[in-house]
Amino acid sequence: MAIKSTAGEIGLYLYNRPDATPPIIFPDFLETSHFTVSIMAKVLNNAVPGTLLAVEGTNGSRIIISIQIGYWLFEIRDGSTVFVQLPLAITQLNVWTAFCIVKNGPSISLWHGTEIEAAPGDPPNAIQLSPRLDMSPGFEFFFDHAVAVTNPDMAICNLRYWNISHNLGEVSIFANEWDLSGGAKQPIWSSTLRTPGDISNIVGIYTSPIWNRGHEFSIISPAGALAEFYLPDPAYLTTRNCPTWVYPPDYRTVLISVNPGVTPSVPTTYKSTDFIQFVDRGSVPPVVLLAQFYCAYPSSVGAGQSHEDSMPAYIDENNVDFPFDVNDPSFWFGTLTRTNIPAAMTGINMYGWKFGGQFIWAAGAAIPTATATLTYTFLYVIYNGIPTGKPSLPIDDLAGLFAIQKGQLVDKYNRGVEVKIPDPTIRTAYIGE
Amino acid sequence: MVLMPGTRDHDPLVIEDFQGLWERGDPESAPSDHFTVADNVKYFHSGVESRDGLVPYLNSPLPVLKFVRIYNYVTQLGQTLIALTTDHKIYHITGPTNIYTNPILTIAEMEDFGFVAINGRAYITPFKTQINPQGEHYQLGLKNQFVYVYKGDGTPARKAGGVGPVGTPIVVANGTPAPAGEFVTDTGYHLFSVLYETDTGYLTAPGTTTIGVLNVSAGNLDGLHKLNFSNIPTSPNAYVIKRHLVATKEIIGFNGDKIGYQYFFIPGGTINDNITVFLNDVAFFDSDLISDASHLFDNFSQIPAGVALNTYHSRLVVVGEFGLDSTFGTDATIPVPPSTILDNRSLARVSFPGEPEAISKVDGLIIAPLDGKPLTNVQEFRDVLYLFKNTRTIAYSDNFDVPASWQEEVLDQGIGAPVHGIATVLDTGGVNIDFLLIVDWSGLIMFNGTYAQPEMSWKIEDFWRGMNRQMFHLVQIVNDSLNKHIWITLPDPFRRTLLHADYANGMNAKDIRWAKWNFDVLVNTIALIETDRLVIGTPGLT
Repeated sequence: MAIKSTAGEIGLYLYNRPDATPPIIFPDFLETSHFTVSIMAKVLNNAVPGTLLAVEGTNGSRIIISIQIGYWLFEIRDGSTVFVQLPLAITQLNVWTAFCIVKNGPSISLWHGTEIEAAPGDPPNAIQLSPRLDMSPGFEFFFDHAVAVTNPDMAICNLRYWNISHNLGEVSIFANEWDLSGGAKQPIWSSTLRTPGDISNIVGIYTSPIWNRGHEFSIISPAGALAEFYLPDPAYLTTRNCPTWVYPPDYRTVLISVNPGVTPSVPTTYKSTDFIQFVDRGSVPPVVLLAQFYCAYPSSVGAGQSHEDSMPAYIDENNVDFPFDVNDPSFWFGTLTRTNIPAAMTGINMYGWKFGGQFIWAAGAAIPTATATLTYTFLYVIYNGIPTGKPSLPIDDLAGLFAIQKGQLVDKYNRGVEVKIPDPTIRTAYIGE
Repeated sequence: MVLMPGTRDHDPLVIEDFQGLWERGDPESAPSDHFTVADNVKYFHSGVESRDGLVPYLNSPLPVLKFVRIYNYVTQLGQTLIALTTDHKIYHITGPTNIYTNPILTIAEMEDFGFVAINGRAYITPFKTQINPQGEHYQLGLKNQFVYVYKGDGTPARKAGGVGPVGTPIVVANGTPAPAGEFVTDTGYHLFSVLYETDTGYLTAPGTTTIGVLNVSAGNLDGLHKLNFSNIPTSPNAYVIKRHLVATKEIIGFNGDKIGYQYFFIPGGTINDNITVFLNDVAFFDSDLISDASHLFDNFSQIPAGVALNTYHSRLVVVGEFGLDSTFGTDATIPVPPSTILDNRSLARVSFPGEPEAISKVDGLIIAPLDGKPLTNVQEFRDVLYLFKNTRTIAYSDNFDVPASWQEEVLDQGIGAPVHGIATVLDTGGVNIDFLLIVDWSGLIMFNGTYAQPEMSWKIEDFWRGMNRQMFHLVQIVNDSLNKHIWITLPDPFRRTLLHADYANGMNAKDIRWAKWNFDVLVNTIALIETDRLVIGTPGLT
């Protein structure tokens, strides 16, 4: 007689991000002169001078929060001209710092706060934000996009954007309590870039099937860094529906790129062979998506004739090229770097979709071409609801025909989904004589 | 070997062999070598180990199909699967990498289907669950639906059977003269017509509006000329591939009833296409008219759907039909309401031998005891046809006469089988291995002409009796006779559990070893593929 056991862990897709410092971007979702952007950061190593957050305007203006040697620096620039430069505070190791930039018409205000030191083992601390700046720079600033730069020596979290301006006096002064009670304004959209799609950067994620254990903190931290995650999400994320989530898809070592070699004799569209795919299954509830966008930065790499236009390419959940009119510029990326994802993609099947690119080259006399690329690809989906919070998988992944395989230690379903075999258990009623 | 730990005042016990799950009576009554819990384990020799995991069977799982039912479909090219999905579509899966993208059949009301393969063709009958005023669930073939035939080539299934020719009477003229001094036909009054042959070999009824007359007075059949037939109708259906001329022998004193006479196939009267509208120089004598075609007038042009299909003595048997109402003209099988008879739940239809689609409306039927319970299953075993209800087993023997005349013997009035409750063996799609395994409300029972007691599930009787009887139509059973394993899908609330039995130590209630296999997904249906590999069909989590 012998006993064997295959009891194991739930296994899901692991997600590897090859580039160490990818920016986190809110592209130009809605061009507006009213917005709020917040971010929290914790310095893990002093040797990290550089940009933390850049809020880019449509006309080249920008608002920047950066780390200089030993202190945080706030800047407002009009093109290359530095309009405001304000040292904020010294940087402290392993202490969370929160920033909130509010743009309200001509006025730009900055709020800043630092975590109050807590005793080891104490519950997370609130951060009290204080006004640091409120001014009108004298030039118009229309939001284009925001970029948060991750860094191996710094953890960031709670990057959020509202396309309205918050009067922080109307709401809680605590950064971790974006309380909407008392008639405060509802965020139109926001994102924490928390765990969805970025699970490799989350320590301990998916070790538990319980959402509140696996998703309690919305930390974006370099993979492998020993970051400590003490600050919880703002309360509204657990008590209210979050209308928008940003899902970075599965980054790959090969960028979406095409290089036809030489320019074609007639205008020709070339489709990439590389596709990215959303990897964080099981978080999006099966709801109707209110809006869905595919964001990417088209660019050209290397010498040669660049492509003329770029647009997405889709493979739907049935593994079929999703057709759309490639001649319709509304489907192109253009300068806005985003395009509507066809409504056929839903919260149920989005895991099965693949996202690629295609590029148009104008006719030319066999001129060598540069490589057309799409980088910083993101999916933006907006829906009423909150992630299901379960590291389970959509029904589509678990439906089908599955065969018992001798020696197989887990139950493996479609597209690599694995779950452990429910606990093998034997028990006798006998306890001896 | 396991050494059970000793506790205070107890001595350890050495268990040499595990005998599987015991769910019968008080847990403390479980013998020491049995388990009160045996989840996700399988047995080997005298040991136990974790069950094996799942892997996707379809290499290309897209489009994702949510399965309700799968059957082994044995074609002439090998073992395949035929499967129903939750969106009421039936697909043909020819292998892990091959699935016909388009469904072969879609019927909106179809909740489940019965199936049998005959000569490589699939016969399919859609059915659904009905609920009577007492709240009892029962299954009947869909009302006003039919048995379908599928050729196994990815083309859509079509209704089995076929409609006969329609049109104006066929025209006959004298053809090539006979050699001098010879006769090439009889003379006298004859009737003739034409019928269709489909690509599945079904012969339709002869056309009644196409009947013509052969007679000297009609300007033909003078005995001195061969016959030229023209105005032969063609079918609008592409599945008609041949047409056959039929004729009566000489009629003396014709009474005007054109279809009341016996028709025979005319030798040389076959047109091997569905295009040509004439056939020249046909010659026959009455003595050449041997092969009878009269019975074709009585056949269903479309066969009412039932809940189960099977074969018996090369005949197709359909049981548990709802029936066809008056909208189907002469094919109607249920009376026009109001009536106390709302369906044909105790009726079995039986085809002619070797002609699975040829079922006589007149005598190709068996009426099981009318006890209000529908027929649920049908099985041939040792030359006897068994019809099952949920708690009845009735036997019939072929007397080489019409099925309506077959002798009935009620074998058991307490044991029956639900619609999927007879174990299929390996990947053959068949059930016979010298015994049948029958899922009954009382337990899993071996049938070898009589029901063996105690039930094979005797050890887990409490669990078995705890299952919802109203949902036994969800129970499906397969028997891996090679490795001596049995798997059984279960009704609510055990839809995520497979009941597993190992009878390597003996096919009896004592030596069989039970276990429960749990999955995260619903286990709707099972089949064995590649001889002895278990595959489960699931719609997913819900």
